[in-house]
Amino acid sequence: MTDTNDIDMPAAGGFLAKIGRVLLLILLGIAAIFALGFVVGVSGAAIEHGHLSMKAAGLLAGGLAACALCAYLVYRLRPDMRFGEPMSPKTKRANWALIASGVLGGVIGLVLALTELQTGEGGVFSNGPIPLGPAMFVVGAYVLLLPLLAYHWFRNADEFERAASGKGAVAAIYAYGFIAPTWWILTRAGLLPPQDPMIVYLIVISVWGVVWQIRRAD
Amino acid sequence: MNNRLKVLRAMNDWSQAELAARLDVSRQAVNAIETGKHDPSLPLAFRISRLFNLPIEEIFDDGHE
Repeated sequence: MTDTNDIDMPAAGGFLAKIGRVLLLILLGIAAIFALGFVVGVSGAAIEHGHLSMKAAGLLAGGLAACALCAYLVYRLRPDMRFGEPMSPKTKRANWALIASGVLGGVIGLVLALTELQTGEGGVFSNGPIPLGPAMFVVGAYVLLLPLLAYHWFRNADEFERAASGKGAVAAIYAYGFIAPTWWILTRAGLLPPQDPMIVYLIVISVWGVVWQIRRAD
Repeated sequence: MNNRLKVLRAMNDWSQAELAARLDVSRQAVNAIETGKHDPSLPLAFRISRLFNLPIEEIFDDGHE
């Protein structure tokens, strides 16, 4: 049972203070994006040249530190989404995992978009080639961090949230079971282009998310 | 399954979020139980029972005599 002393009651703030905080959050977000773009650029150049000079390493460390500082400040100044209502520590941790997953997805999308800006190819909505550096960063983030966040969410989400997510997952696997073979047959019949795994992935993950949110909605 | 959770919550003057925090679940979970969308597990039913200091069968009713 939760100790009610652990339940965090949010504090109220003035309107101007809230506006100022939102503006500061926007500026910090922009600064974090610039810092991340700088890191992607320096690391991409280092990979292309085959070595990392001391100067480049220093720039990389500085960019990463600036990005981490902005992210930390955004976290500390984040708005209260509870509208004055209390929230248990486990629910807060589960929500934190969801938000972190969203941020991770945003960072991955940003890295791909910045790579497209720098190299003129690749990008988020593309199957084009991308340099090795950003590819390793994205795969590393996806393969190493996402499972940790998913595990953290699963450990802290309550039974209702887990059940809603589970129903979304079942709907998603059924969607995949219909879409993949149907597309395969229609391709063989000359009615559709060859199957694009990312389109199938996006449909499946969307079905999961939509069913999950419908099940948990009031 | 029918339940008296909403009535018991109102008797204590708690919001859904306050009850959720006391049960260590999300507000959505409390709403889903109150509206009959979700039947709580046995451990959660016991937590609810202890919180209101009532036997489980006085909170939940499966419709059988």
